[in-house]
Amino acid sequence: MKGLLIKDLYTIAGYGKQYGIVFLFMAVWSAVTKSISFLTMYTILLGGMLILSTLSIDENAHFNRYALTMPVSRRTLLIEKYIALVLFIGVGSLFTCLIVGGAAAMHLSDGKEELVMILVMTTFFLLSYSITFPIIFKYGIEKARYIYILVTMVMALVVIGGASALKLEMVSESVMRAGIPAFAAVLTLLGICTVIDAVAVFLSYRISLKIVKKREW
Amino acid sequence: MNVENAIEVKNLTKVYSGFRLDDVSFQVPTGSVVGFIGENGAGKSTTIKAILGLLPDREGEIQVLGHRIDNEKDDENWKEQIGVVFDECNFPPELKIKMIANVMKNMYQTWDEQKFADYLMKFELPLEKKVKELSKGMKMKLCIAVALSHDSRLLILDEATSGLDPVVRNEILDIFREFVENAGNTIFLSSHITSDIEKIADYIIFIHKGKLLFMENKDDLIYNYALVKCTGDQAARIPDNIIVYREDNSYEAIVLVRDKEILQKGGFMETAAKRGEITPVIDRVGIEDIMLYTVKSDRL
Repeated sequence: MKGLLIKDLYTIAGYGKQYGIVFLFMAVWSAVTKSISFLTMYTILLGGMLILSTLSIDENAHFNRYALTMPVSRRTLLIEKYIALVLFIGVGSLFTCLIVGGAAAMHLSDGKEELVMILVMTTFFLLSYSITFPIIFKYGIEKARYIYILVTMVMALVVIGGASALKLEMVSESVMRAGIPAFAAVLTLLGICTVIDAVAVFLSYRISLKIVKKREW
Repeated sequence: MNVENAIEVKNLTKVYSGFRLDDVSFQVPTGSVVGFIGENGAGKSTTIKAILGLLPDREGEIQVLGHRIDNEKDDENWKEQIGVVFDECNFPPELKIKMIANVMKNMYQTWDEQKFADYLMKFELPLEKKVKELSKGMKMKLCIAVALSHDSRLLILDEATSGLDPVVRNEILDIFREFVENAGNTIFLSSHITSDIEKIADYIIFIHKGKLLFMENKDDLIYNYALVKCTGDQAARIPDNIIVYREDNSYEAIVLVRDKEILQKGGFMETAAKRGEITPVIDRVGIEDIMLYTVKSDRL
């Protein structure tokens, strides 16, 4: 497990310069357009993209087949990928928190809206990857890439449509009218998001495990 | 662990659409080098996948170093004792060799850093080089170094020498010879480059169209098989039960026989001499001839 994780981190480090340049470009773009939200969303998205990159590189090199000839079980191979997914998106989210904190410290924003955005985006991407992972393990990364885009688009439509139908602004106003402190509201949201993520990742892992156990490498 | 056979395969069957690995059974004796030959698509890689536990939904029983291969179980410690090299290097191309050393240290409990460093020096593989910067030969040497730098007792090599030039292939065969000199070490080597197998193997397993045709001691095989060049009339006097393949052309017949002693003891040469016929030629054959003519005989 540790070896697999180290291998993924080295793989990502190998492409660090490319990812750094893209991130820098997005940071400049965000600064020019004065949109912290954009950078927030992009940074978490980048975390997720890293795991897709490692999956793609492994697939092209037939690394998984090779790893299974070592003292590594199919279950371990899979768990490591889910850990990497949570780790990369988690690090992306934490990094985004630092950006938001920095922006708040410089009085560029109050940070509350961005903090909610980080929670929602982290949940959104973890959910979308949880849906896509079993497809990746079934059909391979190249086919799954298109399915991932489709899943993300459908989810975005559902979230936007749902938010509009539920009139989230009114929910937010109701929360404020009820005198619930912002911190408590964010904590509640954090709890809800964590439960959604945990259930999604667990169900996704169970489905992927069944696929991986039957897969020929 | 002291087991008589490093690998035991019993009644291995795997069905795909258009191909069937059909009831394959064989043993790889501990301490031997076994060459696994057959044309492309004969079922070599499928068999190796099954041995490595990479093939679910197959029938039959497989034991490797005394461990029963069961895809449902997660017990993987037995793999500490096997080293596997495929026909390509499977490390991500951006990884440097020093990174691979660190990854492998965390993969194998029995990883031997000093041994790996020694192999790197022997193979002239620089630690700072990335996998993508290595030549095909260097990549294969890297994979062999990894396969040998833990507690390997069994090397499983699937077309590991294909695509390499003869000099590198020879160097690699020397390493394999060194490995098998240690008592109890075994090599199972699949290749369609029969000259490599002829140089190193003790036993030959021949698979064709998903069926095992034979497993024989290499020296016996080369000694017993022969290619007879004679006239059509002389070929007709060769007992049917020893003929593997017969080809008639306008001036001679070429017959691959599986037991030249039967031919010699049966007075084949003497009969030709007595009748004043052209003297038949009984040639020694290589593994490649045996494979080629056996495959041809199936196409008749």
